[in-house]
Order: sequence, then C-alpha cells, then structure tokens
Amino acid sequence: MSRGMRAEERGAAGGLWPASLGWLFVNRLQVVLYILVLPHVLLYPYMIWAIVIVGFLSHFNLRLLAGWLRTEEARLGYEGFVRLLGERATRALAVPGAAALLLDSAIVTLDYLEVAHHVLFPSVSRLTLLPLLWLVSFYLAGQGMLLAGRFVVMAFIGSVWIAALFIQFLFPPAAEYRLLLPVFPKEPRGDLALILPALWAALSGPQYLAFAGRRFAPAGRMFRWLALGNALTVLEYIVFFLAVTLSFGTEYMRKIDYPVVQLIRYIQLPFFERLETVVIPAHMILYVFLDAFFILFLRDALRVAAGAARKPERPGWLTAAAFLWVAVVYVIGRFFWTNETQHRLWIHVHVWLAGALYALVPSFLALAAARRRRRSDRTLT
Amino acid sequence: MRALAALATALILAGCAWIDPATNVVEEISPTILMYLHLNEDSELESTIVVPAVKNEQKQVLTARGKTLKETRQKLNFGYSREFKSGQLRMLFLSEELARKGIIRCLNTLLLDQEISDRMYLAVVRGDFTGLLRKQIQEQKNYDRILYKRFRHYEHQVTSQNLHFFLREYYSPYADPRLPLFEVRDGQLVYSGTALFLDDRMVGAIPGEADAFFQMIDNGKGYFPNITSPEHDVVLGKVTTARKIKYDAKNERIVITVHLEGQVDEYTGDLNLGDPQEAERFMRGLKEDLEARILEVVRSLQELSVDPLRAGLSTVTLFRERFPGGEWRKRWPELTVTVRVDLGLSNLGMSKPEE
Amino acid sequence: MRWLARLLASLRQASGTDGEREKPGTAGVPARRADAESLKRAFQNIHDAECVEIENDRLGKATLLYIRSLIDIRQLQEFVIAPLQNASGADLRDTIHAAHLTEMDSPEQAETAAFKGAVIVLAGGRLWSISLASSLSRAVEPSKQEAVIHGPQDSFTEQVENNLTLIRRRLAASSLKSERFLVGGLSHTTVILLYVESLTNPELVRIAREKTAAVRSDAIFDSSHLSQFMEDHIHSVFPQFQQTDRPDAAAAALASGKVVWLVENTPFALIAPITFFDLFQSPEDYIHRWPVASFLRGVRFFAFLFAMFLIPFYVAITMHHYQMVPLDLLFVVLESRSEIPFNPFWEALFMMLVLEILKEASLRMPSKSGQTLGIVGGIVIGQAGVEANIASNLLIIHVAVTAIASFLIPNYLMTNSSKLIQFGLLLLAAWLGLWGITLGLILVLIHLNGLTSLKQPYFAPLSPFYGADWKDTIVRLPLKRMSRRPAYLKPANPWRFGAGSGRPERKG
Repeated sequence: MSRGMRAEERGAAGGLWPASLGWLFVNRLQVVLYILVLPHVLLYPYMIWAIVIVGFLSHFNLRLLAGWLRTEEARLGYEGFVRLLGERATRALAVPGAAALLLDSAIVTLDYLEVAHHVLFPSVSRLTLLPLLWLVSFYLAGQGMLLAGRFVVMAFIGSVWIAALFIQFLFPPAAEYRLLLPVFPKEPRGDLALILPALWAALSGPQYLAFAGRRFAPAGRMFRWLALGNALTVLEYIVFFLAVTLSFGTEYMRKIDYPVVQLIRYIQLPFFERLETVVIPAHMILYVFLDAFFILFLRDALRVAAGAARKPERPGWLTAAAFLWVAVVYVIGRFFWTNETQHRLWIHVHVWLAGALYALVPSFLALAAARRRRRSDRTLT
Repeated sequence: MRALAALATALILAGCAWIDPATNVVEEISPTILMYLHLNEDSELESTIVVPAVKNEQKQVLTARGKTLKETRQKLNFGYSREFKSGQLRMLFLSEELARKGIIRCLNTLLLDQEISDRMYLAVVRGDFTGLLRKQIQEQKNYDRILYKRFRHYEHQVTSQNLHFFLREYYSPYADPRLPLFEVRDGQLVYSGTALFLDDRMVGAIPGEADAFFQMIDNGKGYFPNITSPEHDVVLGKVTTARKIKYDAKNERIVITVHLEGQVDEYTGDLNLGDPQEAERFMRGLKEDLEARILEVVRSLQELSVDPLRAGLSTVTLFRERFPGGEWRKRWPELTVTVRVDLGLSNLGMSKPEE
Repeated sequence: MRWLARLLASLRQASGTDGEREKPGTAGVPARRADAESLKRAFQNIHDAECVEIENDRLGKATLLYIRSLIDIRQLQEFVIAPLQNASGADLRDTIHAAHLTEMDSPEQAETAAFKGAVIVLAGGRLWSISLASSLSRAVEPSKQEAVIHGPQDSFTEQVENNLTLIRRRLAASSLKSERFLVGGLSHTTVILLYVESLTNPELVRIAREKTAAVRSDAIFDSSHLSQFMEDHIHSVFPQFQQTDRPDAAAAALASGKVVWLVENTPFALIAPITFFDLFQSPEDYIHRWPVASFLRGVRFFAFLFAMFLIPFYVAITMHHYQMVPLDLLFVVLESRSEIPFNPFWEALFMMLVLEILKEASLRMPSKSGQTLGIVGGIVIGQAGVEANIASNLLIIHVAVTAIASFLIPNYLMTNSSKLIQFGLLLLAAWLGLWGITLGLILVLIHLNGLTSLKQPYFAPLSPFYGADWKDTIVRLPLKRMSRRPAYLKPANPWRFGAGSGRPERKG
C-alpha cells in the first residue's frame, strides 16, 4: 500500500510526525518567549558573540537529545522510561515534571499576556485574555498529540514573518552602525553571570521533545533537523539583537522595558503603520500551540503519576489537565503577578527553571540510555 | 459536553475580570494630530491642540494649562464633547522658552504612553504659534494636515527629527539632539534653521543661511535641489552630498570629509567657465569657500559644546571607547577639526562659447 | 439489551433498505405461480401500472407487468410484445434478443426492477426483467455553475448512465472501475462509485465503499444529501466533498487518485477526498498559461481572505485601533462616521444582514422581477441608507466589495460558509479588536487542522506538510513538472507519466 513513499511520508501517513518537522518544533519552542522579551541583560554590542557561543553550546546539547531520540526506549514512550528508570522512579519523577511543565508554560503565557495588556489593551485585564487563549489551546489539545504537533507548521508560518519585518532596521536611516562598536571590548561591561544563563534559557524548549519520542517516524538523522532549528533560532536572535542595538544604542535600551516591542511600534510599511496591533496578536498562534502542547504533556504526566499510563486513554484526563492548567495559571496571574517586582521574580524563576531543564533532561536521558546499553552489553558477553 | 463546560468556564473567568471603560470607538474620540507645548506668562505649562472637526463643526484650537502634561490633557478633555486621544499625534511643537528650560520630562511622558507613535515629529517654534494656528485654522481647515505634509515632504532636505531619534541621541554619550527651528513670521510658519540642544535644553541655533552647510555635514547622505553661493555668483543645482567623519588619533583631530556632486545651474560671474584654467580657479575658490563655511559652523557647535553631528561615535573603535562616560563632552570643544570638501561638478553650465 | 437491538433492526428495515450492492442475477430459481398475484398486489393503486397478458401456443401464457410512466412504450411494442407474440418457446432467451434481459431471483427483485424502468415478464414459471427505461432527459448543456470560457462545454445531466458515458469517454481504460449501489429505501437511487484501480489507494476505495453501503435514509434526491450521510464532520461549515457537474473535473479527480460518486437524478457528482485548497481550484486553471493560472489562483485566495476579513478589520480598527488608520483616511472615516447613530459593529451587522436578505430574495424572485429588485436593493437602499445616516458610505463600499469578492471562490458551498465565518469574526472584532480577529482566525485554522475528508487530512499539504504538493496548491506549476500525484491521497501509483502515453495509432 505504501509503495514508493519515503520514510517521512510514511510517518505522516501512519499517524507519526515526519522527522523533518523537528526543526520547526525546535525553532518555535525556543523562540516563543524571547522574541518579545529579549533578555533585558543584553545591552552591549559584544553580546552578539554571547548569542553565538550559547548557540554552539545548545548545538551540542541537541546532539545529546538526538542521541536519546534515536534509542529504542525513546520510541517506546512510557514503557521505555520504565525500562530505563523503573516504574516507581518514572511515576515519582512525573510529579515534579508536571509541576515544571505548569510553571514553565504559566510564566511564558502570563508574560505574553502582560505584553498584550500593556501595549494593546491597557484597560482590559490580562485575566480576561487568558481564558480565551486557554479555550483555543484546549481546542487544539483536544485534537490529540498528532494533530497538535502538525499545527506547528501553521504556528511557524504565522509568526516567522515578524522576523522579516525587522530586517528594515538593519539598514540606514534607522540603523546607526557605529552603535555596534565596540564589538571586541578589552574591558567588557555587563554581568556575564546573568547574561549566559539568560541566553541559555532563551534557547531552551526542545528538551520537551524528549518525551515525544514515539511520535516521530523512525529516521536515522534526527540531529540535522534539530540543528537546523537551533541555527535558525540563533539567526533570528541575532537579527533582533542587531535591529534593537542599531536602532537604540546601549544607553537608550537601558531605559526601555521591551525594546523589541518598541521597535515593532516603529515599523512602517507603505499603507500600514503601528503594526504592533497586528504583530502582537499574531504571536498568539505560538502561544496557542505551546499551551496545547504543554496541556497534552501535562495529561501524560498526570496519567503516569496516577499509574494509569498503561490503561486506555479516557477523555477525562485531558479535561482534567486542561482545567488544572488554567486554574494554576489564573491563580498565579491573579495573586502572584500583581506588580513589577513579582514580575521580575517570575522571569528569574523561569530563566533558572528552563535553563536547568534544558541542561539536565537531554544529558540525563542520554546517560541513562548509555548506561543501560552498557549494562545489557555486559550481560550479553 | 466538555466543550460547553470549557466555554462556560472561559466566559465566566473572562467576564469576572472584564473592564473596558476606555472606549476607542472612532466617532466618540477626537484624535488630534498636532500639539503645541509652551509656557505662559506665569511659567506654567500650557498645551494647545488642534481639534479635528467633522461635518459642520468649527475646527478649533484649544489650550489648557497645568503643572504636568497629563493635567493639561485632562483639562482639555473636560472642556470638549469628545475625548482627546493621542494615538494619532504626529507633530509636537515646543516653544523656544520651554525648549530652553528642558523638555525631557514631557518627552518621557510621551514615550511611556503606548498610544503615541515614536515617529512623531518634533520641532521648536519661536513666536506666537497659538495665534498663528487660530488664524490659519479659520482660513484653511486642514492646516494641521498641511503642516504634516510639509514635514513629510522636506524630511530629507531640512533638519527633521522624530521622537525615536531624538531620544536615541539624547541618551547617547556621543551625540546631542537637535530639532528644526521654525519661526512665526508674517502670519506664516517659516523654517529658520536648526535648534541645538545640550542634553534636553536648547542652547542655541544655527541660522538659516548657515543651515545649508550644517545639512551637508549632518546627514550621511543628502540631496539639495539648490545651494547658493553669492560670493562666487553661482547657484549649484541637484547637489548630492556624502559625509564621513573620522577621528585621527595620531594628530588628535576630527576630519570631516564632504563629497559633493552637482552641477552649475546659474553663474553670474565674470570667469569663463569654458576655459579649463579659469574653471579650475573657480572650483578651487568654491571649494575653499565651502570648507571655510563648514568649519565656521563646526566651530559654532564647539563653542556651545554640542555635538549634533554625532562625531563622538567616530571615536569608538572595535576594541574600546576612547572617551568613555562623559569625557567626550569635555574633549569635543578642544579638538581641532579639519574639513575637506571634494567637489565634483558635472556640468559647468556653460554652453560652448562662441569661438 | 438484545431485544432493543432487535427492535432497532426491525425499525431500520421498515424505514428503508441499506444501500445494497446489486449482485449479478443467478439463474435456476423458478418463481411460483402465486408470484404473479403478489406482484399484482404490489402494483395496486398505481394507476400507471399495467398488466398485459400474451398467450401463445408454444409460449403459454406470459404476463407483462410494467409501470407505463417509467418505460419507453414504443420499444415495448417493438422489442417485447411483438417477439413474444411470435415466441417459439417458454425460454425467453430464444425469443427476446434485447440486451437487458435478466432473470429475476425473487419477486422483491422484480419489484425493484419494475420501478427502475423494466418490464417484468412472468412466463413458464420464471420471472424475467427487460430494461426499457424511458429516455426522458435533458440534453447535454454547458454547466451553469462552473462555466468556463475556454474548455469543454459539456456537463452532467440527471441520467446517471449518460454521465458515466461522459466520463468513460475521457478515461478510456479498463482500470476505471465502477460499482453500483442502490441507496434509499423509497428512492432506490442508483449511486455509481468510480475509481481507477491501478492508482487509487485501496484503503480509500474500501472506506468509500463502506460509507456508501452504510447510508441509511429513505430518500436521496441529490448528491449533497448523500454526502451528508457520508461526511466525517457533519457540524463543520467546510464541505468535505466536492460537487461538480463537469465531466472533465470528475475525470481529472479520478486520474489523481480520488473517488467519484455519480448519483441518479442529479447532475452533480461527488468527489472525495478533498482538501481545503481544492475548493479554490477551477478546471480553467489548467487551460491558462501557468503564470497566469498561478496569478488567478493567488487572486482567488486573496479574495477569500479579503472577503472574510475586510469588514471585521474595519470594525476592529474603528472601534479599537484608531491609531492604525493612515492620516488622510482618518479624516474621511471621521466624517463618514460622525452622524451615524450606531457604533461600527451594529452598523456592519445591519448592512451585512441586509445584503444577505437581498441575496436570498434575488434567488427566490421570479426572474422577471429579479433584476428590478437588484437595482432597488443595491442602489436605492444603499444610497438612501447613506443619506439617512444609517450606514456610512465607506461601509457600503466594504460590503459591496466583500459580496463580489466572495463569489471568486469556485466552490459555491464555500462561498456561503465564508459568510458565516465572517459573522463570527465580526463579533470577535467588536469585542477585542484585532486580537479577537486573530483568535477567530486561529480557531478556524485549528478546526481545519482537525477536519478529515474520507478519513484523509483536510488541510494537506499544510498539515501534514507535503512539500511536493505545493506545486499545485496556490501556484500552478507547469504540467510537465507535476510528475507525481498528490501525496496526501497516498496513491498506489504516485507517478503520473508512464509508458503508453502519446502512442501513435498503428494502422492495421
């Protein structure tokens, strides 16, 4: 029946994601928060090298991730994790995993809603926009992991053109190239201890793909797709950083809350001005995709934690996960995100949380898989 | 079933937090495009706006005073039937007195207002602008739009500044902002040079005659339809200029190179431009004259300690800042400046003289 | 619980038969003499049911039963009655040399055949049927719904056999298979399932067959009735079957690997599986030069988006985002809106409803008054509305342009669907401006993401992403470049160009 079809197509036909979708996942998962909220610590021109360096580190991290995705355990899903870590450990780890998922997506979503509220609807509460965003994400999540994953193509198309709009800021008259100097400073200013973790967190996101291993069609060269996505993200960050630096300069950037958003407000096209009213809603598609993805992972985490992973799936689990998600995010937004200090605190929490997850998850899993293989090799001989 | 539950939950949660007292419906607001900030006799802040009128209403000019910008805005709102919204504000005029006192407070307020675009044009006005507005509005209903079109049209020929660039130069340690200076003369608004700012206070101006030379060195590239040089009895046409500013570390001086291309439109002098030697003499004279004029302009900038040319940026290298912090402000007045003009006149405008 | 199942089964049987595949007749089961009576009872109270008895020494008694309105009377006399009167034996196969002579297994089969335009002959204890259907039909005319300027002008008619002829002439191959179903307990509508065996995915054919056989209804009068029983998503506004009355479109679909249904008594054939992008394709696309065709397709997509978003965009900007309006337009908008008593949302809603009323009214009007109403509605109401300050002239322009743009979509069902989406977007625009419109757009995209047509993804080649299929989606690349069939159909033979194309005819 599937004569003459390449492996990727067969994947799509049989209810799996083709491996080539990997770069879209990686790129959009990484870019989702930091397009709008480019870390406020990136003030000095030489930090462009910091972006490149962290990009390389992320590259190597993705190698570990690809290695994990190639193993048989990754392809088995729950059974694979049980083989690696044992059933009790897997179930136990699912609880903090669920919490991490909730926190990560909550902070990301609330930050976006903060921007939307600040720029577009100063008179409408964030907590009005949240349930609507949630409703649409729930709708997408209800279609299942396979279809929700395919939606990444649309999320990509719906948001990648924003980076293209920024290219106009790389040329005069808006750009002042001398603002890029000094780019190889002998005495670098700025706190590297803050910058590098922030950039690392900016490139986090793909680690969640480790739990979706069984969704990808078997393909030998997963790494090239992941690397492509990472490279594209780094390129986008560089474009944004250059645009912001060339347009504002270090001193001015210090005074602005969201430099990228400020620059969006400066874009001018022949018939269109004030594009922030279009660009910021357009970003919503990314957050819908991300939240749906996270709700589905949350559902899986809840099932694993409750020991129901082997039983057939029932619609109640997804509903429970979705309602839990919106409840947690609403509560955080209502009680714990009411002023500037709390906002900054949450951003720091996110940087450390996402950074840690991105650093630990792929290496931990790759190591565990390698140890298991060595052990099984040893038992064979 | 779960779709209904989800929908209900979403609507309840959304409804609980819904507030939208601010209405932006276009017929209930009055989007002004022009605002004028000035100080009155008691040194209080006053803001004047031009009210866009519809159908049979009269176009009005309204003024209100207060301690802060927002206070004046509120007073304006309470005095008129529709709320004033600043989303379409495109021109901000500042009176010279206010400019000399310092404008960063007002500008910061405007910057923080998310509705106002960063592309708003700024300008300094000398004279009774309110009176001019009141008079002109009677005659031309669209006077504010005409002014805006003027700004747009002459953007590259005269000094033109918007909020974004002003603030960028204000915050930069290597540059100082400048704004176009207008004057109310004979019932018209006339461009009369460039207002120079030290931080956010106006400290001087470049008058109209010298302004053309300032333009040549201000923009990286520029285009001028005409440049007149009465001493040499010549009018140059279709002039394009390109300027480069370099910092010569060895000799500790700034070198400004201006590359000027154009053609001779009118020549009323005695020299015969057809003859290569005389043409050479003419060009050399013109070149020296231009260099002298430009140098004069630069000297006047140095006297005021302002650097609207962003010359300071040329002192930053790939590896370090030579004058970090506020040092450039101190060094700039003391530096020697050398100006070089490369003249390239394509057509000397003389038809072949009769043999 | 089993009694419930039995009750439901008996109810189902009473309401109508399932679409059953017609089995080829098997000979050798003689009908009882009493069958004549049972058949005559079935034909009671049908005034055009006639019974003719012919007696002959060699034949014996032959009873002819037929429905006069369904058969061709002249052919009856010539091909049935005359030969019977000169019959040489009871076996009709020697006497009647008509092509459609079949032996019937049971009185029920005979009854069905009689109502399909056959003459039932009861002779020698055996039941025969001779198909003599009346040829009452429309001539083959150009299609009114999908007219093209340049290209084949024939279109389907209500006679399913004629339609099959039109298709078989275009796909002259033995691999074009046709399966016949009878659907509808009362209507016994003939539905013919067509597919090209060598290249259509057998899974698709199996699904199509199962769905057709599972249709439970008593009367199917049109192909869209049929499609509504076979759809995967009945609540969606997007059509999951394509309907066409052009044989070239149907043949092209078959050649790509799709399945076509021909339904009796309607000129519209069904095509499945389709994608969202198929709704924007027109047969004329393959006739124009490819850059022109690509441009026209692009214009169609643009018109669709334009029609859906223009008025919600206008409402969003005038209600929430006044700062986006370009300066010159700002004063125009202010002027035109200044004396309208409603806010933009109500004004737009009102005008859109008026437009819908006009459109529906012009459909129902007798053709003589249709034109007058068009003028009255369009010009008078529009103009008077503006002058009475019920609507602003900007909005009237928007509404008019939207109405025209929505007709660029080749698929008629989709035109009306886009109206509904437009109303939804209007509500969201009024509530939350451009953010609301984006929310609505994302909702529509998610909905499309999950739709299926004949269990195949509806939003291919976007989701799942098939790069090669984009050659014929928004642009139309040269036919030479389209060497593979659409990947989402997973055809058994993905290559279009093969041996046997362009063979010169050998002179024998």
